[in-house]
Amino acid sequence: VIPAGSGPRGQRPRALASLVVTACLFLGGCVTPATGSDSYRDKAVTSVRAATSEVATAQLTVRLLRRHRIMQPYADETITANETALGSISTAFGSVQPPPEDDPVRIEVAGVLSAAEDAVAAARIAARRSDRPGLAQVAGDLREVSDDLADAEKSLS
Amino acid sequence: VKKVFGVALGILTAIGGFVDIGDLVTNALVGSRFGLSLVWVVAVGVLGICVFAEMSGRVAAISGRATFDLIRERLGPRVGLLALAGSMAVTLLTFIAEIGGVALALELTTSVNEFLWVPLAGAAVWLVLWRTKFSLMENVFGLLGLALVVFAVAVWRLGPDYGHLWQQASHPARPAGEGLPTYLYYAVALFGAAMTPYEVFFFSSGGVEEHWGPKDLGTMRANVFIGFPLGGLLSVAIAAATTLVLLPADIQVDTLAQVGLPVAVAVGKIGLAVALLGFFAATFGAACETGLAVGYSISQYFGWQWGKFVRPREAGRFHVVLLASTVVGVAVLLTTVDPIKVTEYSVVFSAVALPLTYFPILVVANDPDYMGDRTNGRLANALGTVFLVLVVVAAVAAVPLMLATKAGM
Repeated sequence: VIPAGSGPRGQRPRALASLVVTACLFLGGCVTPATGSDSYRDKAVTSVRAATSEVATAQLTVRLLRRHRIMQPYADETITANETALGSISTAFGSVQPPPEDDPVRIEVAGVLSAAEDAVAAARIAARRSDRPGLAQVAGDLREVSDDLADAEKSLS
Repeated sequence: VKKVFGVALGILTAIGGFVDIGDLVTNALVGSRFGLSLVWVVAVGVLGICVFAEMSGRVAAISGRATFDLIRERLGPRVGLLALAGSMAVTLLTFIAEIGGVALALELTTSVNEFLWVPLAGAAVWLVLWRTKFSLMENVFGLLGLALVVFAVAVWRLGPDYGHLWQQASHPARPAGEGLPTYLYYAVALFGAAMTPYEVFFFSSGGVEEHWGPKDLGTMRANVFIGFPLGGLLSVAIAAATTLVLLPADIQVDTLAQVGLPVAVAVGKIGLAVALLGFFAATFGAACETGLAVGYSISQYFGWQWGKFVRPREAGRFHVVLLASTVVGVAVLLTTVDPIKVTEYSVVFSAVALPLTYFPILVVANDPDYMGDRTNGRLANALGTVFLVLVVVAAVAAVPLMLATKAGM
């Protein structure tokens, strides 16, 4: 006699439950809050790397604009997209709850992300105005922010 | 002379029409993160699409009927419906990404927000699908798509160390800092982008639209075996351009604007304008192809009159599907979803749907009732089987890799 629940029918709910639990674990991985210092630092590194890419794009675009190698609308759209992306990166990082011992990490990374947003916003303003002296100033600011991001990544690794 | 001109035109449009938003974004993104270490996937994918496009084109030329027409008849309504549902979900997602790509290309040209362009782009695509002759549509956008050759010019102007590039491509190695799951995730994405299901549906239905017969097999094979690989070289040129300019600058591609920057660096404003034309032609042409692929497949499955070789009023339900797909595409994009994200997901889900597309084609191409003495030979079957195994592996791996890497982060 086969006990109830031991046949294929009985296995089905268990298999389904395992599948749901596995899926929840996987999907939970996409949005999980920081569960410890390592996790928080990983998120900080990811945010800094993403910001580095956006700032580097803005730097390249400003350089092209100063050398008359890119159309103004194209440059404007590129830098605006960088600014929007930096806003999202900053918001996403700011919404992660840091472990108490990582407050200095939060302050350092939030600061450098904010500086990156400001520099790219300045680049967007100068690009839209076709402000050549402004673009020269912004190029320097972007270089500084880029160095700060590199330093932040190094200190986190 | 007319025949030579026809073959040349077919090859050129096959090259220009090969690249779509998925190829543009995925190759640029992979080049900016992995250099040329994943070029082997493009080569494998191009060979795969050549194998199955030749099969589906041959089926169309010999039987005079398109893929889904035969899939339902040969494999039955249930298997046919499964293939239809899987392939159409991905093709619709690709259609949405292409319309979004058109809007992005127009935004980069005009600085007018993409969401204002989305309804106009959708309306323009639908008008072309409704009013324009098939051959005109195919030839115009295919030829304009050749503007993407500017990426190859950019690579040449950048004067790279070709030996180093060849070394990267021929000795694939995962770059430091990139995990194996991420590397494999992008390998699957590139494979999905190269073997997108809509390409074979469009190709075989296009054959029926153009009344291919056995005498057209040579032209069809020239398009496939010369045009597609040269189109694949355009994909490699895009990856090489971003490898040379964006990778050293730590720029990871997440917008269409970044894809064009290497051209601006190497060629300047004129080159960038040509690249923008290429973006527009590639995405608009592919939007027309994917839209038609949705209409073709659904109409063929349900046995409705389809095609642009008859007047719209004679294929009313086919045109309703085209209109409805366009409305759905525009509506989805107006939710402010990022077309580049849609593209990234579409190429990965494309990999998931590949077996549903390619297995039925392999079955039909081996059926003497439809193919007479033009069934697959040993080579076609050997390659078809190898690629079927590959697409099954890619399909099984795609979603777990997506979850494990948080979509390649």
